[in-house]
Amino acid sequence: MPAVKETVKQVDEISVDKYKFGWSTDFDVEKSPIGLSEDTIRFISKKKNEPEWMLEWRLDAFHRYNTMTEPEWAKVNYPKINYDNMYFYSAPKNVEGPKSLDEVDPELLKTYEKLGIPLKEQEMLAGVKKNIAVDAVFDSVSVVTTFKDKLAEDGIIFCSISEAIQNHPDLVKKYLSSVVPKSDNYYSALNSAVFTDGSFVYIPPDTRCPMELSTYFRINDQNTGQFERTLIIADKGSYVSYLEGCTAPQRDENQLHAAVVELIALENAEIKYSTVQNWYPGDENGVGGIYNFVTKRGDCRGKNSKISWTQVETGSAVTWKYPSCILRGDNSVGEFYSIAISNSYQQIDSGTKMIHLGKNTTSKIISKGISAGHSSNAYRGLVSSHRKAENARNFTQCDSLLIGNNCSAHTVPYIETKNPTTIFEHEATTSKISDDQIFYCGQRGINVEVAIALIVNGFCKEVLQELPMEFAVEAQKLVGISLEGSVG
Amino acid sequence: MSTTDIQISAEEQILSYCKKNIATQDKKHCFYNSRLGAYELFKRDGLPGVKNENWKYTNILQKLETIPVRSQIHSAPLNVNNFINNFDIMRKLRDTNDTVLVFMDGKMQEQLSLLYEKRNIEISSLKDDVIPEWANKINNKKHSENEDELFNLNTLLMEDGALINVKKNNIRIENVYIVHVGNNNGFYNYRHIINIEDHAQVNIIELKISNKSDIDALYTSSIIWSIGNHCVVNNVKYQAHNQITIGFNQQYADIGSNTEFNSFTISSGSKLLRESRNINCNGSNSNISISGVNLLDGNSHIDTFLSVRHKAPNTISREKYKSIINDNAKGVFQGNIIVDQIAQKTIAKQSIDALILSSHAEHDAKPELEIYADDVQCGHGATTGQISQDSLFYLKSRGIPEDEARRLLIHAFVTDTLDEIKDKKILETFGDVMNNMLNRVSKGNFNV
Amino acid sequence: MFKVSNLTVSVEDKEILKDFSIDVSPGEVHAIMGPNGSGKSTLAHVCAGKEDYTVLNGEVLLNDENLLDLDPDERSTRGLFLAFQYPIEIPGVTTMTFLKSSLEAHYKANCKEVLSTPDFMKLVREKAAELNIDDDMIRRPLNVGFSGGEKKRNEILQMALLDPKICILDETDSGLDIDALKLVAEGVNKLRSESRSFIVITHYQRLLDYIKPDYVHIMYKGKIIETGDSTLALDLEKSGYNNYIK
Repeated sequence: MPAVKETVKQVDEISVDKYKFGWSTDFDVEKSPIGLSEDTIRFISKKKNEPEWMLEWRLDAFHRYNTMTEPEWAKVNYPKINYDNMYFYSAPKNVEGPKSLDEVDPELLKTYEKLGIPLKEQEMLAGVKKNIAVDAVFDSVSVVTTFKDKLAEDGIIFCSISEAIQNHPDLVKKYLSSVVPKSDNYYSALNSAVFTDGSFVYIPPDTRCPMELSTYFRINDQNTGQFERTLIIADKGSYVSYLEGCTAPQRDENQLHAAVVELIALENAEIKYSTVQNWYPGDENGVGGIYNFVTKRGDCRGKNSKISWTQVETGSAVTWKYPSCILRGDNSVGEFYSIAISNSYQQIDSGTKMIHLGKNTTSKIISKGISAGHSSNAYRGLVSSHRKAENARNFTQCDSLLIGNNCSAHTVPYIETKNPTTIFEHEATTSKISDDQIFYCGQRGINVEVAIALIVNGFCKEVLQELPMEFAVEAQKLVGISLEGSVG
Repeated sequence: MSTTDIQISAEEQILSYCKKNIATQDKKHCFYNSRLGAYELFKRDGLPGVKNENWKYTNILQKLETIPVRSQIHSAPLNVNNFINNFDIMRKLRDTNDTVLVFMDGKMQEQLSLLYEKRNIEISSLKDDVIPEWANKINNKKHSENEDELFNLNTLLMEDGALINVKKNNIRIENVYIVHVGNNNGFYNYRHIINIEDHAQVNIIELKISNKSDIDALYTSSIIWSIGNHCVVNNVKYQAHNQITIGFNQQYADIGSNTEFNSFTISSGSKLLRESRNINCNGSNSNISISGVNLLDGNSHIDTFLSVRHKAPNTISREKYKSIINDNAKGVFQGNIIVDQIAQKTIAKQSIDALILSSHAEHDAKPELEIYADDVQCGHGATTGQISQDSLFYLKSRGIPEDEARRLLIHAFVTDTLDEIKDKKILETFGDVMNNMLNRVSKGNFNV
Repeated sequence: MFKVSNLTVSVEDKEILKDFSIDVSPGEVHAIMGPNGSGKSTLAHVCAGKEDYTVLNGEVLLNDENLLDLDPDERSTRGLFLAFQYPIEIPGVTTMTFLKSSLEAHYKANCKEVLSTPDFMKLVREKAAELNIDDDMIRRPLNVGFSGGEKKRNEILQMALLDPKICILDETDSGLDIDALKLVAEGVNKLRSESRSFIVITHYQRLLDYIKPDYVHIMYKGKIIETGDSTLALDLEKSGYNNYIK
């Protein structure tokens, strides 16, 4: 992952003095007041030195949030989250972290090693405390500024959302919450009220972003809800590929993650958004792990635009995530490629929505769900064509693989057609890894764990090949690691 | 009806109807407790709304404004032969000695029914003062997780119905017809209970029609099946209602081991028709097929809800539904296949296809899989589309006129569902019936 | 070198192999023939370590090591190769990827340096060409959509790559036309050497026209009831099994 290496290098070079955010001189207050209230929101907004309109925006979201209740329709169970007992903002502070890799949980290091992550990155991922600025990368505040100068030459803006609020308020005002309204759902309202940081990307007209943009998010601090906000705008005729990758260290307490990602593709623009999500899933007994309640949505606003989501979901205790496409522009294209792997006691309820509004819009959904252990893995997807969506086309292929007899797989597609020229096709299958396949591999010298990784990678092939090269290699390894111990 | 009545919602009208009804029920009757329980539940829950996931695509109160008042304008025909001869399907299907049970407006019509003394089939009525023990037992047990508000309504209000007991080792396949004719306005509720003992075989043929296009009927009906081991049961159903009838059909079936159960339905018409079917495969090595064709036009709304639960190893289920939707009609299909952890080696296949013929028609499908066992083969496919313009062009380029080409392609779309009808004679008759209906499609009219 | 002694095996309480023994020296080819249900395929599967069988007694020794204590992959890397009667399909995994995983496991287990990817590809192409296997087949998912002949040739390709000490061919001739059979037999014959032994399990004498055995055994009800040279197979073809079943 070259981009990460670069980031590490960059971050190492940043000293406290160079770090430009408002809070950096203010170490006496480390966290926002506990719980969620107007005061918390005012605190966050003030800490981030936000303009008045942003504070109003957040407060509006908070008032909407107060009228909503947590959704219960997904096929997931988890203890009720006590929002009053959470910190919604935490700035870097001098907590005792590991001083070197020697102090890091060896299990975690083993995983890094299997993933082939270089030592330098391992330090970064494990949160080895080098100096305050490095800490800053990993908490709620983002320093994804690596290629900024280079990109600026092409007029591309790639910065933190906080920075964008300060420096590009017109773009933010125009597009923020234009795809995911504040009151879209419980978690998006919560995110709108308290989001602390995230990424902002703007690609100017007729520009092809010369490199894959990437972030490495991580949740580091106990009891800190993580509320990233990402906004990507591809102006007319532009192209961008964005990578989001996550790993998290071992944690005992459940942590909430409620991000909102909004993509806007204008006429003839294309956005490719890839995610590898490998947050801490809890231990083998289902204790701990991240709650991942994410709202991701793309708007193909212009003619001939295209948005493509690719995700590899292996981590988190509970995942609730439906990266969607609104196919508004005529001839626009939406794609969703997904691998969702659940093991131990993980619960995944994920899928997509393809909403066909414009003429001649097409969408494609390829979903591969793998359940092992005691996990539960659901695909939930909506494909709909509206009255004016002449010639809407969708193809959905939704395959589940079960490993062992204590897990479950669910397929819940919604297919809604209001236009007679629509052609929607949906197929779903369920299968298992057969004993014969394992034996055959074994007879050729391939042990059970490698065989499972091999077979599952084969099962996921159609999705893996959609990932950018360097991501694909890591994802393949991750597939194998995620399923370790799934066959006794 | 006075103007004040109209302001009361249909839900409240039904509730007050229920309140009056429960007060008139015989407290000593063996059904009384279940009626009372259902009343309490209905009082609490009312009608299901669109927030209920199982009713996501059907808003009852949008279709049901008022409950129709009973009329006695049209009297029932008196001559059984005339009745049957006027009824095309019956005339073709029926053999002499076949049992025919005729219901009109929810009530059994003795003078129109043909009840022969049969060694292996016992038939009695739900109206009787004494209910056979087996029927009482089946009626009182819990049938499914999906028993809903409308089932409670039916439990509370059921007035009549057939109790059919097919006895053990019934080798000769008997045909039993259950015919229901809507003849007058009104709100009707009935239930049939069918018990099939081990090693028995039977064909149950249901025919449901509206006699006139202006009969305003609302009904709930249910069939509760209890099917034993080593049975062969073929069930076909033909229903053609007028455009103002609202009907809620429910079926619950418990199926034993080594049994074959085939059920095929053709539905058309209705302002609103809910077909809810819940099948439990309780025994191993059984093979079931649930299939159907829905033909919708005008302002029809047909909502099929089908849940098949595999609760034992080595069972096979196939579900195949096709809908043709025209005009302003709306078709809904919600299917769920559940495979319990114990049900290894299950094979379950479901396919849902819809052909949309008009720009104001709508189809919504939600074919679900819920799998808790790993060694299974389960799959579903769902398609929606229109008549392929390429195919149409191809046929026309060979000199076939547009109407005829459309007719051919529409036939081609539904024809394979007929494979699911296992009885040859039924297959032929239903094939004809369906073809006649389809021939009208190209002329833009399904109605009977 | 390869020795099965007094092997008794049951499946669901039914004894399939009863006190079965065979002794194979380096370079020898042994044919085992027998009617359906005599336990031939069970023998192949038990030697390779398939689950579902209960070994009640006996040993399977390869160079004096008891294979019964080992997992299937360990038996493979020790040098036992089973050519399957029905090779298994693995969707999405290309034959090339599979071969690489397999070969790497063997090299690692035997402390040999793993080949670089170009060297590996070169090796596979070389061996494949000898078996008339084209590049297209190697790029396709393992055995998925392969014809009967392609599957069997693919088995022999794996045999050639893995360099085993003892090869068990389980009804390799089944489902092959005469041309495919010749091609497979040629492939096997090329692999015959002083240090490699074969057990050829077959129903028909036909295969033995092309792979000449040193010994022929007749198997019935879980044990060997007759042993002879290659003429035994010819006699058997003429007179049928009934003459030998007492």
